[in-house]
Amino acid sequence: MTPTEQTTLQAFLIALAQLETTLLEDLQQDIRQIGDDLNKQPTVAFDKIPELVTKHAQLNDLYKTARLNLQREYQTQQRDKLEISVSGKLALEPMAITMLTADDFQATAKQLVTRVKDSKDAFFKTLQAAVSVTQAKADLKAFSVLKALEFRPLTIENLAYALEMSPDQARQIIQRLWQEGKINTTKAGIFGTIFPFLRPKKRPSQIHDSNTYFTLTSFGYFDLHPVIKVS
Amino acid sequence: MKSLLDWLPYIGIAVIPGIVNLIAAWQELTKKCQFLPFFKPQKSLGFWLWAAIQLIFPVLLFWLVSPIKTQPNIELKLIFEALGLGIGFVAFLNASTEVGTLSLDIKPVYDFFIGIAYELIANNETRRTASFWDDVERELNSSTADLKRGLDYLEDYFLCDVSLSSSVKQEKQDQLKQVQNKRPKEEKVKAVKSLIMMNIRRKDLSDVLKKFQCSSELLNRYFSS
Repeated sequence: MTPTEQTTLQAFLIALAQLETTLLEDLQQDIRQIGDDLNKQPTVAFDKIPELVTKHAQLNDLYKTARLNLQREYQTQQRDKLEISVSGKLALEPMAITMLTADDFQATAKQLVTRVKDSKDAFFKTLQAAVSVTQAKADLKAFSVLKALEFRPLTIENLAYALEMSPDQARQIIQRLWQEGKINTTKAGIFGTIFPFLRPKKRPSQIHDSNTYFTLTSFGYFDLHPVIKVS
Repeated sequence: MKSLLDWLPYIGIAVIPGIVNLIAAWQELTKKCQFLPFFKPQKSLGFWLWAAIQLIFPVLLFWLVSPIKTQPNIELKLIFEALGLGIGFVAFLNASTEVGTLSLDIKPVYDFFIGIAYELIANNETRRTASFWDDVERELNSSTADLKRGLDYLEDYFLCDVSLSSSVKQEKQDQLKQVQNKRPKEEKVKAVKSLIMMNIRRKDLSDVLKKFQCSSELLNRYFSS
């Protein structure tokens, strides 16, 4: 792997970890294909990355910024004659394959960075920072969604409008909160609100941006108003 | 069977804080629901959930904090403690318990269930009530009558209400005078509507609207059942 290819791959992973919207299924498939190619024919994968990022505006911006930052960081390290972590380099490819072939790129990135501790490698440090900043942003948005739903049941469209976010972002947060059992559709009734853990694990089959109303469950409510607080 | 009979007097005492709290909370509920003219508590699932919470929470709290579970001798002190907890239940709710760095607060649990109860009441009542008051305003605006007859009736209504103190009666008379002098008519109608919403008992509402010459169509639509 040449230094340029390495930077390309690293910037791509950082950009994916920072993405705030859900990618279209086609684009996700293309990314998984890059993950497969990386395993079988790496040069093809490196060629595909710059082309793929141009298909998504936010991904493209994040990729360019990450690339610039990495280049700057590596130049500083070379100038200061710091040794670039060998273990970091060695771990990059399998890590990239794991992340790119996963169903949820961000969740996988989060799992991967928690395994690497005290790395001095610029890439790992940037990836760790990206993951924690993205997580903090997502938590803040999830909190504002829960606050909005506490007042009144809302649709994805309502939430996007009220909280000034894109429907994609609202959908992604709703998906996360639904998986955590903090929200439910209003059709679930009081029983579903009080006992969210008793609902089927499967996501409701029909979620419409403008017709499906979501409401807080007991989990969501007690997340906002905890019974036990640590002072 | 004997064991259950042994427990009965204690259960009777434990229920006291629940009943006291239920009575106190009833005042709050009637105040909150005074703008819902068609609200029939006995037919509302939300109301029964609300009542159950108001009853159960103080009972559970008393059971936990008092020595009643050890079946002590039944003395006046125990009964007064039960009464005290019922009266001071809201204060108990607002107090949090500190254990080391942890703070335990049961109010969110109570608020969660009360919130569900109010949500159920609001789900059934809000749309119909809003339509009703909107229709009343439209009728009063489109009516050719100058609302004087209705306002005269309200003046008598307040004078005859023995539950009002003389100062409150005077306050109501002053409000009526202000409403009478309001211009244009739309403003006057809004003030009349607000006066009716805030002051008229639900069972007297249709009579009051008749005095304001609301159409029989409107009255039949909302009060026929």
